[in-house]
Amino acid sequence: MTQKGFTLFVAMVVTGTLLLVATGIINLAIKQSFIARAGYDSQLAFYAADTGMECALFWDVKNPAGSGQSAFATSTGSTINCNRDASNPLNEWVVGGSSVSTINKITFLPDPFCAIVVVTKNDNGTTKVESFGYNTCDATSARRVERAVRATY
Amino acid sequence: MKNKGFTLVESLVAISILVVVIMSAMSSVQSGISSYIFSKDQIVAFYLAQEGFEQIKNIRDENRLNNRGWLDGITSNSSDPCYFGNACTVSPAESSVPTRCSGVGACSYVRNATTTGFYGYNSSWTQTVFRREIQLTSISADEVAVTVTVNWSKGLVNKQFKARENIYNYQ
Repeated sequence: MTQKGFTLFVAMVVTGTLLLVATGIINLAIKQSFIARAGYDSQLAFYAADTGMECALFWDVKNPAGSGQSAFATSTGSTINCNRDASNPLNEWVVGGSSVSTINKITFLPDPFCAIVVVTKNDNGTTKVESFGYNTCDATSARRVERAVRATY
Repeated sequence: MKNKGFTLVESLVAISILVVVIMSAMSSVQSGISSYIFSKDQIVAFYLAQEGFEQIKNIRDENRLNNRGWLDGITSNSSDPCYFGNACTVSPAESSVPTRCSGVGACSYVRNATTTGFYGYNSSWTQTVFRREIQLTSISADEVAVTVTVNWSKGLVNKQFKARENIYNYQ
């Protein structure tokens, strides 16, 4: 009589142990996929930030319409555009005319990325460009990742 | 007699529970391993894509230093490897110029030199699961969008990493 139900008991103990181990592993797998996703979003945000940086440098260094003057010059304002195409007709901003100019924001539709660039012209003639890239323009997204690049010269 | 019958039923129940549990434990281990492999492959894909961007930017910068047209050797005329509408790929370890693929989505598999770790297209290297393609789109005369797509498959599932960045003419 004492042996009755012993097989089932052993089975339940083994089941419990295995389920515990399996839950742990599943947990690891889920966390790993979150990290992988965050890495992916971070890459997209970085390339958006880098585009923002390239854009600001182009309008500061070259500025085709400005006859040698930077588009961010504190004396006069200029209208600049980056990544302006049929999908992104609003990618045009007025910058310059003050020491701090903000490009808010470069969109890359149909992709959800975006970039915000802040250009500061210091009194001593130096320039600081800070470009913030996001994997999504939606500021309420729980998956939003920011990567930023700064240049001073 | 009654007890004997019960032992058989009990054993059957126990065995079936064990089978189900062991199977689910195995499959969770399996999904853990595949998410690990995916993470690893994805990181390789990130670097392959980055190499694509860096190489294109490097050629642009070289063009400036040598007073050539800013897109020379990339997409300044229809015979250039990355001309708009075509797909191309780069292999910095082997050559400083990009190579045009036979069509969009038809770039060869990237190969890996096991001794040095370089990725490229040398036929003696080991074939990997990755395929990289670079496509350029004109935004304006001084602005070009670079899209690098890295595709790979793991088992029957196809994975993709696609990133884009715009480059500008500083000349």
